[in-house]
Amino acid sequence: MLAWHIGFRYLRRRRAAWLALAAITLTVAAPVAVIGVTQGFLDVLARQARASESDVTIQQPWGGEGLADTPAGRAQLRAVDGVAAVAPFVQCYALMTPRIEGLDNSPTLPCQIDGIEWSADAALGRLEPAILHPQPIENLSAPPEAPQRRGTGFLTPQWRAQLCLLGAAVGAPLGIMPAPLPPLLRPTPGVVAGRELLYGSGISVGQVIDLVGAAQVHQQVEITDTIGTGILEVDKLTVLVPLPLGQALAGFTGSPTSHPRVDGFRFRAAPGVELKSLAERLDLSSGQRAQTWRERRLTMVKSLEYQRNVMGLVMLAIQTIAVFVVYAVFSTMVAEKRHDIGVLLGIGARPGSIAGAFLLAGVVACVGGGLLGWGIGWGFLAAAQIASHSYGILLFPQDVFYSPDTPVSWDPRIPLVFIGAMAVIGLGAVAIPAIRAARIQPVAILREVS
Amino acid sequence: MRLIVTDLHRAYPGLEVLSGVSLSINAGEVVAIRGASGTGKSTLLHCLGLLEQPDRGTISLDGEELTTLRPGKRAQRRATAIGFVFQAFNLLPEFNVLENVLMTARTAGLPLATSRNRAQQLLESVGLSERAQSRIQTLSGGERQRVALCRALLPRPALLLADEPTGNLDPATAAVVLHQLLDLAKSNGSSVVIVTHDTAIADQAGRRLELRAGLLHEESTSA
Repeated sequence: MLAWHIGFRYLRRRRAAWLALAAITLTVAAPVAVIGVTQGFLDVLARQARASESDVTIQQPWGGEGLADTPAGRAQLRAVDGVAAVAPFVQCYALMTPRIEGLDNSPTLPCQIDGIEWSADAALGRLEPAILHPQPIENLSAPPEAPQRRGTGFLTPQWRAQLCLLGAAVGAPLGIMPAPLPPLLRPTPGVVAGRELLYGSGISVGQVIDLVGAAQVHQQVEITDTIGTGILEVDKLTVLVPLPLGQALAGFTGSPTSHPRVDGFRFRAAPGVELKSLAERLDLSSGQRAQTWRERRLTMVKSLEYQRNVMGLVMLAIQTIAVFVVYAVFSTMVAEKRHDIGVLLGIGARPGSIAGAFLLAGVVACVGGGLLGWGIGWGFLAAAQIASHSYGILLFPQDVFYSPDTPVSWDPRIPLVFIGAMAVIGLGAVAIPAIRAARIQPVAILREVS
Repeated sequence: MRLIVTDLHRAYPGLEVLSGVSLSINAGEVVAIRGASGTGKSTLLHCLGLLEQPDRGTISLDGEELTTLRPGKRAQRRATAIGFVFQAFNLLPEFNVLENVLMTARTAGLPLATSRNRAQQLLESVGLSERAQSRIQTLSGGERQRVALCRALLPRPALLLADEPTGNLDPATAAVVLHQLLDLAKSNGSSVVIVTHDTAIADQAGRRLELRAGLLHEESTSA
């Protein structure tokens, strides 16, 4: 193919072509790296949101009377098409006061109670091991608690010991354990607190605190563990408590004539189920407003999406600057090769082949430079990740971005979009000199040299 | 092959160069066109080579009217039926000797494998087979013109147009190149039109014409 033969040769032999290639490479590498990080933040945000949100949530309006939590009601919700798991929850504000030895007036802190059933919530995928007992972010000098000092979910170490003793008590009559056993204690209930709430207030795991809920119910609890979703507002406020305790604090306990109430239910969707349609079905089934996790975190997700999109537009604008370089290089190339083009047209090359040669050279430069830019962009992201993860060199201040690692997205669509954009814009820029080359009059050239 | 030119006119602003040129060339015939500078020899050659469109008149090759062809078809005829040898060689410096020769095969859309063999044969016939991979810049003027000749003859054109083919060569080299040009054209069966100032070259042609005042005049030949 004549166009390919000529175009590739001109591209290879022209020094200026390397300049165009470099411009293309850099203006693909930069967006790949920048949008890779921006999308990485979005991905981290989504992951963090999913740590505290279920797929779909039904929640009564704030301050309402609550929804009845009955076995039949739960079964009805679980029967909705696409529901894999369901878990009730109670949410209310409370005040917590740590009991600090030697201090009569301990500070009182506001917190948000999230009353849950541990096993049901775990079935939702919310309480993944990765978010339990995490390293605190705001106070790196405070190490996570050692496993023996932590509880197990809502079980305090004392309760855990009690259970062992209970097992031993059962085993003693059977002759498995020696008797007599020590007397049973009555340890306090355990709760799991947000890591920043805890470490930021100087409270530690194992400490006993007083909780006063919206229903003016006082309850003494022991902190068994910390939780870190990655979302500061959650980690600075949330205290996970057993559902009955949450109901007591919120004033949602049942009576002999009524069932205990809850604020709402969280749902896990079956694999492959579209969340929006599941929310609509739950809406119809329950008569309550159902929202997907994305709808509940819409402001946060949308703001980052807008940032990413604006950044993408800025990057596209930068690519158009590279296009000027491409245009200049190819215009120069056509001017330099004017004689050869005239000769080629003179010996029978078709104008289309001449234009095609330059267009092909442009495509090769744009796609080749783009692929190179992809490699450089991802190389930079990999280096940034290694630097932050392995060597603690932070690209972004973690107290601002609340993430110790450089968030990175390896989504190949990002580089492909920018390579595609570069190819389209670059082709547009090359088209002008290519058409100019095809319109060269061979007679004029041959007369010039004869 | 029979080339028939009838009443060809070509004018530039304020100057009529061709004023009704008529010409008929038979297959294998060698025609030399002489004339003083500025009489329109190159213009006539460019019109015959479909590089320039005449204002009036017709050019037909084997009965096919060429002046009315669309640009794409004209380029195709140029690539397949007409060969050019220029005074300034007009080789492409980006490509080596063999690639330059093969360029007309590419423009004519000929299969490259068979064209490569023919290119090698042509280069051998002009004594340049050893230089097939050489860069153009390393060749002498005579060698360059022989490469240009091979390039022109590769697609076996019916008509070979040569514009002062030895104008840039010393007399000894010019004689060799002209001899090879006529030999190869003969073996190829191509008709040849040579535009030249040189009477000695014109004498090699079977027919001599002189372009004067926009018209062709037959000269007596000694060949």
